Formats: sequence, C-alpha cells, structure tokens
Amino acid sequence: METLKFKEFSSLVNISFWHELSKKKLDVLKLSDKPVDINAYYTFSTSQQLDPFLCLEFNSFQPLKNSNNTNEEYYQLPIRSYLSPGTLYNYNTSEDFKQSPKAKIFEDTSKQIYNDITTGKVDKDPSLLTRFILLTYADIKNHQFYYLFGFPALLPSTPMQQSGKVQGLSEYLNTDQLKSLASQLPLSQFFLLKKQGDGVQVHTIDQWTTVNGDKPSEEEDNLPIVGFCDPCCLPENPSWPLRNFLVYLSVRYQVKKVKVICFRGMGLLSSAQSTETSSIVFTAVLPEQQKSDEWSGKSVGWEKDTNGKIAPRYVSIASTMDPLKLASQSV
Amino acid sequence: KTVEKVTPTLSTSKFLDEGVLTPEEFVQAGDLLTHHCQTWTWQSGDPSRNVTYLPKDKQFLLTRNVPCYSRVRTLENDSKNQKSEEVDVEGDEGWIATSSTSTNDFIEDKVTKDISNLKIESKPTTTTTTTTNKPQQQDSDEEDDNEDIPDMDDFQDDNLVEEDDEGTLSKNKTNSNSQSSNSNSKETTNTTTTEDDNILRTRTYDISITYDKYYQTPRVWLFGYDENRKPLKPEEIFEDISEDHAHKTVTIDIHPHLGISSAYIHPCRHASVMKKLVDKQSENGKQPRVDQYLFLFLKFISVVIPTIEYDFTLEFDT
Repeated sequence: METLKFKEFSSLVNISFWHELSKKKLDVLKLSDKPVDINAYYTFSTSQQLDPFLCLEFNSFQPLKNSNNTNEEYYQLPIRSYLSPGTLYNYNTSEDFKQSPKAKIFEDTSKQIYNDITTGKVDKDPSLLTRFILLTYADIKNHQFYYLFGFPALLPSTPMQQSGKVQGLSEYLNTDQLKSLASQLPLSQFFLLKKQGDGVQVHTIDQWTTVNGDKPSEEEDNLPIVGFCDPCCLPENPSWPLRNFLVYLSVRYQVKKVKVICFRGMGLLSSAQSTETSSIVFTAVLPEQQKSDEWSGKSVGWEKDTNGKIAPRYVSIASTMDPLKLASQSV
Repeated sequence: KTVEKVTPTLSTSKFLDEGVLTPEEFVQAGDLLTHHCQTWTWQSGDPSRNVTYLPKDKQFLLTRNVPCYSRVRTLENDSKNQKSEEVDVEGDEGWIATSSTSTNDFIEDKVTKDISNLKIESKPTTTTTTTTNKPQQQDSDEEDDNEDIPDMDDFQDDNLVEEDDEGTLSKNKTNSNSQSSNSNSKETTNTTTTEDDNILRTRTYDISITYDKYYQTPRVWLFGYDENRKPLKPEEIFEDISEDHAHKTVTIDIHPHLGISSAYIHPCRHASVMKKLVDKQSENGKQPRVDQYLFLFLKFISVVIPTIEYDFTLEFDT
C-alpha cells in the first residue's frame, strides 16, 4: 500500500480576467469587498509538462445559467471542460489584502464543501467538490494585481492509500469495453461505471445506490468503479479534483475501497500523443470517516509560489492596457 | 481599420485563383479543423466586438495552453551545427507531429522552399492603415523592464501556514522514474524545473485565428505565458518566432475579438503562399479542398513558430 499523492491545481489567469476585474471594480463593485461568485474551468492536459490548470477568463464573472438569472450572458464552459465554482475576495488596499482572514476563509470554504456533501447537494451538482477561492488586491491605477488562490481539499484522518499497481485504462478495459465507453462520451466531471460483459455503463454519481447497492463488494475484482475527468496526465498520479470526490464517497456512502478511473480524454489530439493511452486506473483505499455535522478536520490547498511557499503572486498588465503604452506600440 | 470598413466582404470564392477565403469558406475550414483537432474551438469573443459577416458563435478559432518546450534559437543553433536546411532538421527532430504521407512530405518540402519567400519586405505593397506596426515595441519593452516590481515580501502573510501533507504531490516526494519513462529527450530541452515535483514546466501559448477581412485570409494571434504562468512580454514572444520572421512578420495590435493587445503574424503574404501550396497540390494531382485550407495554412505557419506545438494534423489523402 502506498499513500495516494495528488497533483495540485495551478491557476492560469488569462489577462482578460484582470481586464474584466478592473471594469467590475470601477463600475459595479466599487469599494465593496463582499465576496463575489466567479467561475473557472479545467480541461484535459495534453502534455506531462503542463500542470493541471484551473483557468479564469473574461467571462468568469458571468453567472451560471441555472442560477435563476434572466441575463442572457451566462458563463459558458469551453468544450470538454469542467466547471469549478469559486469565490472572489477583492480587497481595496494592500493592507486589507495582507490582513484578510485567509485561514478563516479557507476553513469556511472547506466546511461548505463538507456541508454540500452531507446535505446531498453534491449528488446533483458534483462541481461543488471543486470549489476554489481567490483573494485579490487590484491596484487598478497601475494595472497591477496581487492574488492568492486556494483549492481546499478535505483531509481524512489518515492519508488515502492506493493498493496494487497503477494500470492503464486500456489494460483495465478490453477493446469492446473501451469502444462502449467511447460511445458514451463526453463523460461528466465525476461519474460511476459498471462493467457489463463487453460493454460498460456510465452513470451519474447520484445513482450510487442503484448501481452499487447498499453494501458494495470489497473484493478486488468486484469493487465499485468510479471515475473523474483528470486534468493532469502523469503516469502514476491523479490530480486534485479526485481528493474531495473520494472524501465524498467515504462520507456519503462509507466506501472503503474503490476502483478509480482517471479519465484523461480520448483522442484529444489527432496527432502524435493521443491521450487515449494516458488514462489510468488504480484501487483507492479510504480511511473510515467519522460522520459529523460540521467539518472539523484539516484541509490543504493554498497555491504555492515557485519556492513552494504560500505567497501571493503578482501580475502587471500595464503593457496590454495602458493607453499611452498601447499608443506607443502601435505607431 | 478604416480600410477594413470600406473593403467589401469577399463573396465569390477565389481560393484556387488567389489563395484567399470568403468568410463562409473560413467557417467551413474552421469547422473541419475543430472537427479533426479537438484542441481547436470556435469562440464568440466579446459580443460588442462581433463582426456581422461571421456567425455569432464562430467569430474566431482558439487553441489554449499549447506547450512550447524550447526557444527557437536552440533549434536554429542545432540546424547551424548540422549544416543542413532548417526545416529538414527540425522535421528530423520531430518537432512537428507529421504523419509521413507523401502529401505531407511534399508540403514540408514546399514550405521549406517558400521560407525565403516568406521574408517580408518591410513595406507591404498595398495601402496599409492596418499594417503599420513596426517593431517599435523594443523601446516600450525596455520601459516595462524598468517597472517597479513590488517587493512581494510586503504581501506575505506570515500567519498563513499549511500542514505538511503526504497526499500532495510535490517537493521531492515523487517516484523518480515517472519522468524518464515517458518524456522523450527533446522535450526536456530548455524547460525549467521550478519545484521538485518532477514536472518540467514549459511556456504555453493561446493561439487564435481570426478572419482578416482586408487580406481575406486567416490571421494568427499569439498570447504566451512563461513557466510560471505569467503573461509573456512581446520581446519574450519573439524568442519563439523563427529568426527570419521575428521582427519582420510579427507585430503587436489589439485582438479584434478580445480587445487585448497581442502579437500576430502579419497576413500580407499569406494569400500568395497559400496560392503556391494550392497550385502545388493541383500539380500533384490532388484536388485542393477549401475546407482543408486551415490545415495547409497551419502547416506553413509552423515554419514561423516552429517550437509551439499546436495540433493541425490531417491525413491529406482522405
């Protein structure tokens, strides 16, 4: 048995997001530092040298379609991408930013994730497992931004383990089963899978009991199978979204052992390295989870800087924005 | 931009005669590209910047987070050392994911020969309100460098610490064979390892293709991020553009659908190169297909940005 190690998210903030934040700050938020709902997405990775990215763009401020808005400008995910709902805490001064109750915000978000698990909200909206937080200080006058991301992952009492070897998806499923899986694309963010002879059946996660019964088998060959769309393509490790999903399984269904498919997209690239072969499967062993009303455990997931320290990042978009500079560039 | 406004939209196909596209043909070609290469997607962009001659949801094409493992100068050094033709050497090293059909080979050869033609005289022949951005950025970039980069320690919150977590993959804890087994050696050149988690980080690019109404061809825009996901400055982007083209064919302007200043490859020679490629295809007995335009086009663009590994493979024999 080995400790399961998860690859962290890396934030990838498109410059258009900072433009939009400046606009929002001037026109809408003004001096308010109330939290704002924002949306981000992640998608499959095409290279081992690319971190799993959580991406924010100009449309991150647009509301989700299902949130009772009549506005026609709702958040649209790029194709083959998955939603990660977040909260933006934008501060007015560098001092406020520095003094902000970061640990408390992180803890509250972790509690919220746990709460969404126990109340069943996640059953219908699995993206809630991938909540993130973004703290910013926008120095709009100078087009400078300071920011810190958090991707809270709930930690069970003891680390999750992996038993046996990591397999490729094409070893785990036979050709017909792979075809059957391919015919059911695109897959949801998190899903359940059932092998049926030469086919497979993909189910949404709220079908757990229907698919696996009340007391799922703990025998290696007969384990319940779950899967998630994995934004990394490391040969041995899953990435961050799986963490809270496994916690969900253990809290909600007392799952102790489960087969996990890290699905990395099929035939994403028509050229050389098709990611078809990069999907992996392993057995995860989950510690028993004491059920409680509120999350009282630990959680981790602040984004680190290049030295591995939890520290804010800085970006200047002056060269893409300042009218004077733009003018001098386009002479 | 003024010229663009008064230029009538091209309505009859001149693909075979002049290597140009109508907006409808641009959409057809984009549809085929997005169908075969799923990393490319149609985008609508900023609604206030929509153009009427393209469908609302198909204003431009975009591929995100394309890896760019090494700088062009390393390729050019290699090719000098081996004293052979630039593109051939690069091809041998596999930086293009070519399928080795004869058609592709011929295009490769052709593109090689066209390289010399691609060097643009510094004044485009037509009247050019849209095209006057000369490599002036140099100067303003230097100013950028002098920008006061704030002391990030001021922003450090010392109370913010996180427990060591065994479940996080980073800091020397990975199985060391995971890297060597799967990445091939050329990918490891000139990328940087910033943390000890065995991931070599690389630059990435968002590449978009817009329809240029004035030149009636696609126009390629580049937006780059460094290994730490900070936006690249223009002079850093030039490091990923082949020496022959860097300051002649690539300039900075406002992206027509995003409103952000980005680098683009100047389209004034696109049509004539495309015309040549199309003629060559005909000579070889292939019927050139306008919906395959972008595959051919991206093939030749890869000469300009040889280390940015975007996807554009199509079996031309089909």
